[in-house]
Amino acid sequence: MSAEPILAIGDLAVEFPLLSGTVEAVRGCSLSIGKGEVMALVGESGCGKSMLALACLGLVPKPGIVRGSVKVAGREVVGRTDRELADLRGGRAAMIFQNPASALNPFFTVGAQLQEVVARHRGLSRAAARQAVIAAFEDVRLPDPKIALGKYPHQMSGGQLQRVMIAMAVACRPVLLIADEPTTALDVTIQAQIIVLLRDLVERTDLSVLFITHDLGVVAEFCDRVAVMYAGAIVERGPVADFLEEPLHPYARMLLAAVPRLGAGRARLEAISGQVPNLAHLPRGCPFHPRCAKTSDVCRRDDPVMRRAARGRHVACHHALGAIDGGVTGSSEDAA
Amino acid sequence: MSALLQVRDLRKSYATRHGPVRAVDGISFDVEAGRTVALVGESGCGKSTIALTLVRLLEADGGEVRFEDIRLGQLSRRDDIEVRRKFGIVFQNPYSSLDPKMRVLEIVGEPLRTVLGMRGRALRERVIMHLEQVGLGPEHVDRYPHEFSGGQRQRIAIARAVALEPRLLILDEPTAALDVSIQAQVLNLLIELQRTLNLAYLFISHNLATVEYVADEVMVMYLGRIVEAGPVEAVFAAPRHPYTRALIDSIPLLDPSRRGTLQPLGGDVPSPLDVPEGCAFAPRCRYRSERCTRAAPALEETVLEETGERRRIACFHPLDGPIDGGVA
Repeated sequence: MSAEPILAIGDLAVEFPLLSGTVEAVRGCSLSIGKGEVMALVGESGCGKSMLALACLGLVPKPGIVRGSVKVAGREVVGRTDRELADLRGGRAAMIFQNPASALNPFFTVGAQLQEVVARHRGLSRAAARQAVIAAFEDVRLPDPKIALGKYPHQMSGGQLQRVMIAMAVACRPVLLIADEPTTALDVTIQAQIIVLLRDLVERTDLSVLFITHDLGVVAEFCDRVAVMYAGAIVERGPVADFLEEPLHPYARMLLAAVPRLGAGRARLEAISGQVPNLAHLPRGCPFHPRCAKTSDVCRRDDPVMRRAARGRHVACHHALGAIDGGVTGSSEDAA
Repeated sequence: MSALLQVRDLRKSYATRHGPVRAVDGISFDVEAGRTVALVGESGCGKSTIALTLVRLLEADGGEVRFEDIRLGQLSRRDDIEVRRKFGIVFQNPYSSLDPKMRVLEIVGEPLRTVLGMRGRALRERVIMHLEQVGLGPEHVDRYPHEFSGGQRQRIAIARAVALEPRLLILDEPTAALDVSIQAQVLNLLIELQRTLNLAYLFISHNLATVEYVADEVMVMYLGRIVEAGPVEAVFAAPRHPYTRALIDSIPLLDPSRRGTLQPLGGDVPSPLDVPEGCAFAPRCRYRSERCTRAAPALEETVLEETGERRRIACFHPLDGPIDGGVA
């Protein structure tokens, strides 16, 4: 990992003012991703993970208010105009989405759509852009790259379209890839193909990845570190192996216990009772306390801050298990 | 005694501009009372078509479906209603399967009103009883679907499905649209209801781990046909069909020490408009021989020597032995 992180998020907050109250979609999140590192961002629907990802590219929709700092390769994103961010988006930082069919224009061939992006960001001529697209298609192992150029999105399968999206993302040689549930809509055999492809790209090009998912199996297979979000805040982060072995936050523990595992037979799944809280009306204190088995008075009173635990781990819980050494991390990420 | 649900040689094709698509191509299976049979496979393999055909939202082209030994599809209207009230269906997406303009009382009460003619206080009390069965309080009875979360909506759909005291529920990906913490709640509820009501389930899913959690038997489908079927734990521990094995090998494990062992199957599922001759899986199969591209293997029942277990397999080159080290 190089000294300067590729992505550095410091005390990021995203709010939406509504008549019924302010929706706190992202609350004081900090994390950093080094060169060639794959960071998983996990959490359930509505926990704010996609909003955090959009904030990384300055794409929070109106009337969202963004505070804090996001730096991509050292350059600030928060507060910049669309014009100032044009070279960042699709250039140094690329994004792929859950549903590739809706991210591509159905009226243009995939070749034309990729050529436009490549020509725009790399300043290539038509012919050179075409060659670059063919090379990108070869990179993502799309069969028959020259034929694929002339296809419309509806003529390709979901797995092929996701390869096209990845080709578009990496054709401009980004340093950061933000992947928002890129395999969720795919069948499991195709998901495995895409994970192997992404791993190969990371190894070959030293790409840094923010990988958003709710599938902990994919986290175990592909990611180096993990950040767990609940109700807009990161509640735990650290190396994937430690996290899977012994999660520190009660929510993370319960999440792992709720996943059915092949080979576990009928060992009873521990469901998490209750519902995810409404982000416009968060409970006082720790937002997880109404569903937590370890709730005490302090949980009902104070929202816990992120504290440093052993082995580069961090957890925001008054009662976290494991070796917490008591240090409170500041707004910007330290050695994690 | 014969099984609760018997399906024999079920067939369903869709006409398209480019020719017929054989979505379900000669499927046979039984579901015994109080048991769970799972149907797994990737998108487009025909699993949902089977569900829709069984509840007759689609008319089958051929084959026979018997419920409690009564052949469906040839009954008078009154007898048909009598039989069909004994099986219900729960769909994948509780955001689209509940009418947004109906209150919970109407959603859960509709089958009770139309089939049993219940009205007024009796109906209301009965709906509240069913809500309690699925873990929802009586205060929910006058609310609309938009006031509920995904997990609660799926509970409402289940309450409606059990309202006529069916003997069989068809569950079409009942937890695929839910978050994992909620998925576990709903799976546990289904297991509990099965025990208390002695329900049989046809559980349709693409998630092998949830199938192992709830099912007794599993059938693996590929392009409209069953390729392997048998007791769920035995099939997943020692798959005989290369496709079953490939599905298992594609699942990322929650074990970082096994990282990098994913073995993706090459290629895509072929277009159902252009199913290869011979075994439909052959183009993606690493065990294929010339024979596989010539003729399609029939689904044949064998009794496995080691365990005495009965397994149905459609493959000329079945695999032998368990997966190394298990799949834990």
